[in-house]
Amino acid sequence: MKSSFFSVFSILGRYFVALYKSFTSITTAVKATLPYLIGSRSRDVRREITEQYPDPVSSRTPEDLPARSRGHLFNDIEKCTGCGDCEKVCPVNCISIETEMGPDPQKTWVAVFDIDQSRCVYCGLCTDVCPPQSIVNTHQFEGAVYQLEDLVMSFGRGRVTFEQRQKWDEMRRVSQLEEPNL
Amino acid sequence: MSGWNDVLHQAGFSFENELLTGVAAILILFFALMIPVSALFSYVDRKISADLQARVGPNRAGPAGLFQPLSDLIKLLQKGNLKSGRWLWLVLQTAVLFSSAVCLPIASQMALVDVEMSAFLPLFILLAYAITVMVLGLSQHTISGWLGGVRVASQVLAASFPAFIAILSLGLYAKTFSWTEIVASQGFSPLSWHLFRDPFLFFQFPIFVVSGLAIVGLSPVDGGQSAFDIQGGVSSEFSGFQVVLLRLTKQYAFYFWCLIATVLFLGGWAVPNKSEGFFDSLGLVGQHRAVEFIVLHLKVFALAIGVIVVSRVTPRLRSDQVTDFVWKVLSPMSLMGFAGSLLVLAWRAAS
Repeated sequence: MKSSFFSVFSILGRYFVALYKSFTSITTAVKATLPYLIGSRSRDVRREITEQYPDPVSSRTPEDLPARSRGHLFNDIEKCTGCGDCEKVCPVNCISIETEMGPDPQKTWVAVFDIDQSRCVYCGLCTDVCPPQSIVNTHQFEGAVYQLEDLVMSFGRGRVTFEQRQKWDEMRRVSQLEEPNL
Repeated sequence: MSGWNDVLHQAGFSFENELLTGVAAILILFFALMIPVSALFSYVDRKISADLQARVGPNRAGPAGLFQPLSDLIKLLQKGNLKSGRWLWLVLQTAVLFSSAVCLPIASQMALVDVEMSAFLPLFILLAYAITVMVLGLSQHTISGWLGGVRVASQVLAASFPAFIAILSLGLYAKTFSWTEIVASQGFSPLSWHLFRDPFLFFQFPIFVVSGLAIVGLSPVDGGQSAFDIQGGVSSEFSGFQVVLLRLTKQYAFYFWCLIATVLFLGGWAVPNKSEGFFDSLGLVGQHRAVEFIVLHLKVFALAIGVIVVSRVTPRLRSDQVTDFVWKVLSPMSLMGFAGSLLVLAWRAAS
């Protein structure tokens, strides 16, 4: 870099311009921020946006959340077909499904449908792939429990005893005899 | 000292037992001066910053969070214990900060010592405070502490120079550096403050305040104590009681610096001239000083809030950026201001 007598003035000039710019940037920042301190409280943009959870007045409730918020999962066992797509797509393997042949041959008996909420990451993939849309994300977000095991939510209809299974096999056999076309 | 004598004799207190007086003085200084001041300033800092940032700030401990410093104190005292190597730091720190009470100019004639060079005492006290912080850093067993201590020392040495020059240029107008004379050369009306006496002094005031922030170690110029690469520098090994003491003394030093800046540049405790006669005619001598105290502290709080607002909107500087800024901007500007004040005075004297 060629230095000359006049380059001193350009360096000095840049020094003072930098000083001036830093001063104006600080005043711009203060002008932008000071209304938060001394402005009126009624304007929404300058009120405190802190939610003082669990203060009942200032916290959000499940009704306040946006429509597509992904809270805890819920499975409507009446609609569930037991296809297991949600179990396969879950990235953290938090859904466990056990199915059996039920009394009605067209409907699967979903014996065990456990969702481990401690593992669920609330990605919503299971709700996307469910064909009958039985599994949904609710808006519930409060789920603290005292024991880790209490976080497993069971939606299944329950495991079937050996006698009950025999009874159902008998029922199916009888109904197939009556309607041999099926 | 005569002011305190009046107040204490009115209260019926006497100085016969020296040991008792000494112990009482230390306890009073600690519990009636340092702890309330630093608690109040930390609360004000947190609430003002929160309001500025659309947050709420402390609001659970006590009404509007007023007892938050107390709850922080209790919580932190339960957490750690004092390591044996830190006793030197404790002793130095306490001694330095107690010595600040000697020259605290809170009302007329209320400073315990008021000599011709009083205005330089706070600067040297804060330098000693910063040396104790450096000692704290170097007394740690990790390299983070050593680096933090050394960075603090470099920052403080740099920042004391513009502050020194600012006080010097003030002395051109006050003709001396004792508190009473400095405030007597100003007045109640803002136009008679040192701030507006001279366009160069107007710029010496922010130079003085910012260099004070660099000495005390407050953002945005707290590079040595806020660096993430050394995990906080001098406070990287801390817990419990030591955190309390460091925070307490930092807030107290901030109050101290704001007080000195107000007395030097913003008119101090000057009240309108008529009010002195008003109080004397009623026979109340002490109350006059109470009014001065209140006026002074209103200005101190206004200055502190202004500093907090500007600190919260300015990005924090790195330690080397702080020393660059102080050596390359604050020091030349304060020297130019000093020369400019000399020229202005010479021009006024000549014409």
